[in-house]
Amino acid sequence: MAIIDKSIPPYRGNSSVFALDTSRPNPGFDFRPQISIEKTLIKYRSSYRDSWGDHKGWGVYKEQLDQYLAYYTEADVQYQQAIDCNGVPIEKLRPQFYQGKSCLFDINIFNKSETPCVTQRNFQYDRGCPCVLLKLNKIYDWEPITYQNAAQLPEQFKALWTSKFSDYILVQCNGENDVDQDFIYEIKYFSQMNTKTIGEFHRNFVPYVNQDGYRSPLVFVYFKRIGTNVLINVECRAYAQNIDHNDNLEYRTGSVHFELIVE
Amino acid sequence: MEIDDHKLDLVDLYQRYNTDPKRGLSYSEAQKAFNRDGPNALSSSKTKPEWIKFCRHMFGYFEFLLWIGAILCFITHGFEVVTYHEDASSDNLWLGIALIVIVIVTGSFSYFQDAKCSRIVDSFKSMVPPQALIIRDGELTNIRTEELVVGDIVTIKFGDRVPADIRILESHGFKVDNSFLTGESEPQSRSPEFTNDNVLETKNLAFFSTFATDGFPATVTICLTLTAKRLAKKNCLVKNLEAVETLGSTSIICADKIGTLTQNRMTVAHMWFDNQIVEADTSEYQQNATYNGTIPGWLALTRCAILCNRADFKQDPENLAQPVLQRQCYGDESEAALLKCVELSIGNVINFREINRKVCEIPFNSTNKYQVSIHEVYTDNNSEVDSRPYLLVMKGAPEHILERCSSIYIDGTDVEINDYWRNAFNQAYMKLGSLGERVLGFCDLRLSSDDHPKGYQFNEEQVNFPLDNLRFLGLMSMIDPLRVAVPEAIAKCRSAGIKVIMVTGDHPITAKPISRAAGIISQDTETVEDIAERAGVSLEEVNPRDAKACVIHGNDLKAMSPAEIDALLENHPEIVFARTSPQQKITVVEGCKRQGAIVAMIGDGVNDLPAMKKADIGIAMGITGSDMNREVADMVLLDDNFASIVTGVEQGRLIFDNLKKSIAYMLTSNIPKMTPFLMYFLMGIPLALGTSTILFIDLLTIISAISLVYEEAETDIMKKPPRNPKHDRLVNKRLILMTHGPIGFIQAAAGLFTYFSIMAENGFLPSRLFGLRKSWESKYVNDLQDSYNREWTYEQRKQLEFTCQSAFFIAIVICQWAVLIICKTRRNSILEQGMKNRILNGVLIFEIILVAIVSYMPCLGTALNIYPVKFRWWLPALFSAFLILIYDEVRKHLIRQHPGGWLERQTYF
Repeated sequence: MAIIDKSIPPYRGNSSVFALDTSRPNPGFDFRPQISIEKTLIKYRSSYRDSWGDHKGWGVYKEQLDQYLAYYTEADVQYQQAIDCNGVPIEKLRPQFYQGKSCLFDINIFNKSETPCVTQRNFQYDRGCPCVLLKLNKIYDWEPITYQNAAQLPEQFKALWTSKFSDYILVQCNGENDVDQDFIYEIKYFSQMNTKTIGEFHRNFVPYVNQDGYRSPLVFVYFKRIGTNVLINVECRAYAQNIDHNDNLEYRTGSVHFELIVE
Repeated sequence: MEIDDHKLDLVDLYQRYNTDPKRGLSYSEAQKAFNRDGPNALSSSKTKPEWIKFCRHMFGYFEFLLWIGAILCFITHGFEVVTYHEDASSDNLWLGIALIVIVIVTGSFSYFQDAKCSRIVDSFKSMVPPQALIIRDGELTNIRTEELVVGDIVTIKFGDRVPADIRILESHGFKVDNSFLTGESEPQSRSPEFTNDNVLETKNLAFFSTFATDGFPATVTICLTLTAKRLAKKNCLVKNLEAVETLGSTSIICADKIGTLTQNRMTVAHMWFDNQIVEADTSEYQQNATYNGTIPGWLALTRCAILCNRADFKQDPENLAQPVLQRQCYGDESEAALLKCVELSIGNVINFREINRKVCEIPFNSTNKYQVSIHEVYTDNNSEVDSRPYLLVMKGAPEHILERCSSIYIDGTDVEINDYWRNAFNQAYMKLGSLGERVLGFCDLRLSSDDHPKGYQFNEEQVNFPLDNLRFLGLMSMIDPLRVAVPEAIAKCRSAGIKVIMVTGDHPITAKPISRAAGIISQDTETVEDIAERAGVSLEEVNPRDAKACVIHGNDLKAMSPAEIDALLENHPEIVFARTSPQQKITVVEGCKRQGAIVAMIGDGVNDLPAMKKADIGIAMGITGSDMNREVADMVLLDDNFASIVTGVEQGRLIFDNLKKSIAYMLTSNIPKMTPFLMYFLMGIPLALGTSTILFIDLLTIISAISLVYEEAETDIMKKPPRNPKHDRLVNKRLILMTHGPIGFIQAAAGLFTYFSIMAENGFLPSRLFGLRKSWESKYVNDLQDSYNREWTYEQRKQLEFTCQSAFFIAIVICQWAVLIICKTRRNSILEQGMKNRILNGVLIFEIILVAIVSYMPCLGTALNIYPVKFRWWLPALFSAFLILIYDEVRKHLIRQHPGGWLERQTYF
């Protein structure tokens, strides 16, 4: 390891430890707001903004989402050699990525007035229907193999197939168990494709090759109608042909788990 | 159980048991009785069943902890399964299984080792079976005490263990130690009279006594047993396992002369009678006789030697068919020598004894230094028999015998002893003694019928016969050749820094030439007497400090104060104590112990017993030694070979050295094992060594440490002085510093370098790792960023962590490989020591194979969280292992180059 390159990790792809158990790298999947590294629980009282005694208000969650989204504002991405990737095939983009360029993730897609998941609306936390941010882990050199036709799709998406799907990693959230599913009445997704019924990450954001100012694509899950005063285990999964799901409690990849308690 | 055997008349008693005092039982009857009553042994306490012993090892204190741990693991796993169903992680299940496997493996290992050890220990017991001398079918035979049956006629001599409960038919000065039964510490006298209804009180019963020695310690370390076994092969029986180690640190050996340094194969060499020294003729057909066989002086001397003699030939026909000199005898060696001598020259000794029946006897003891017996005289001349019916014969230390005599038998007449005769006696005594021969004086007295008429009841307790004013007959001197290996063994002891002191009952004149021959007094050192003689000055003019060697007479020793004895022991490297009583032998041993020495006392006779008990380690002779000696001793030299002691010392030192090496080896893995945890807690660096890997390291450490026990001795083992038990302890500061200092550091460095390298290669540069513990360990953080802004899920970074831990583990194992090799020696180069320890070599190979298996076998490794490591990550460890080898070789080289130098003082453990 005599001299370590500061930007290219010595081990990547299949030679990395990322790939050990699964024999190919498999991206992790994450959510925000997560206010403690010790738990994955989003629990608050929608009538309070501030925390008060044992009762947690929604303020901390909003602040974290604000902070997180601030990374994507223009002021913060000044070091990014951003390029507009709309409609450009990945084959053309890939060489540019290795030159340090990366696609611009337009944060404004969440700022359209019709979207509920905006800071002006407190991400709907005060309404008891929280928005949760989802993102894929950055793995150097990893690229998804997206679904190319309806036949390749998992069963539940087949009806939704459009040719656009072939450019996207798909995301869907569900109650982890039937009980949980029972309390989730309606979910909407806000992301680039804006289908609302399903979340997506555009494949042009990967491969990630440690470009300066790189920003991961995001998806907002909007729990439009859920049961209150009840614990709901939520599991969100990312879908592509080369994303495996490990639902083991400790060793989770390709999916993310969190709990919601809205009082 | 009611016993009336002691009340019965002897005749009734014989009838009851169908026996005869002269002929004993017949073999067929004895066999019948044996079948009826079983062996003559205490029914041993019930031995525990094997399965209980097995369980002991499975559920000992430490094992119990592991079981609890395993059960807790299973319970936790159970909860996980109930809570999370198929999502539950199987870590706890695997850990529980690993714990149980470890308990079972180590438990079985220690059980089998223990079983092996107790088998070895049991076999030791049967090596020196107590024997009894009995009369069966009219013949004296030796049998094992277990084979004794009721009705056997048993003969017992001084120092024997009473082989069974016995009724006394005939006895002379018989005393028994009953402390085991009644708590009386004084020896109790026993005789044929019935004196009390109480079986314990009556004088005519003596009881089977065991003189119970301590049992073997419950936990017998493999190490000691191994050595004991090794020593047993060299005919050195270890009764008390710790004795092996004590022997290793022995700094003074006190050796009795007779039977220990010498062969105890006495042959009569010279005689002095009629004021002349003649050479004894011990040839089979007496062709070498230099004297006339009919002269009265010689006849009187030999008669005394025949009668005042308890030795006897073993009565089996095979033995009797042998030439006299090669026959085996019962009894004391010097008496046997006399017996053989007179059997050759006179013949028919046994018959002669039978006609001149013994009526009374005081056996030899070290206070009297004489042995006396009284015989009914049988001659053809009846009037002489009537006037002087009894003959008193006495033999013993010449000067004591002479003191008791008023006349000397010269040329057939009794001459009064005057200074002339005393001078003649002294000259003869000195002359014989200076040949290194053991000299005995003989005297006799015909008791007149006036005082001692026929049928007179002699009583050896209240001596009712004269012991003074006897008639001196002459001297007989015996040569007891040195054992062949003795001079060499003593030289070895000396080069090993062990002082050998001779403590003997012999006269200084006799003791000195023997000690010179043996090398106890080396050729070029002089005693005060030598200096005086050489310089032609009187003894007083010689500065005692000039003499390195000295021969101390027991009487002088008695007069010395403890301080004087200390000075004596300190100023003279070569000392011989002559004419010492058992009490004085204790004084010598105590004096040595006062000097801080570890003292070994070697002896074969009952007179050595107290000193053997007093010494740190008592060593008995297996063949010549009495039962009591073997009973009391910590160690028995089965072949009576003094050289075995050198082996014993060597093995004792080897044990100590090897234990030290084992401990040093085990300690070296401490630092590399501790560092990851310190870094984890103090610097927040993700754990570099996991629990399962530590478990493996410990397992390998134990196996390797045990293999060091089999290591051969280093070449200097018998060239360095004995260790000082006060300063040179098993674990000392230098050992701790060495193992935890440089060696521990190199290993930890190798492990950490590998760890940080793999972390860095995979994206976590060292700077990123500091303080990362909390997020790293959180299962809820699934996007931990590395130095390349990549995001790691919990599973991914745990895989990375386990990979690093595996590499760290492999690094330590490889370093430990080198450490095991360097631990083989403390001073020698490993090139000199070689790789002859097969078990250790096996362990080295086993370690590598095991590591390869757990690391590269797909399922097993994953279950134990040990992941495959790229070969290049073996290299830093290989380099470090090489470094360790070089470092220690250089250190040892410098230690050898500069003995006593700074490096040795600081690092030689």
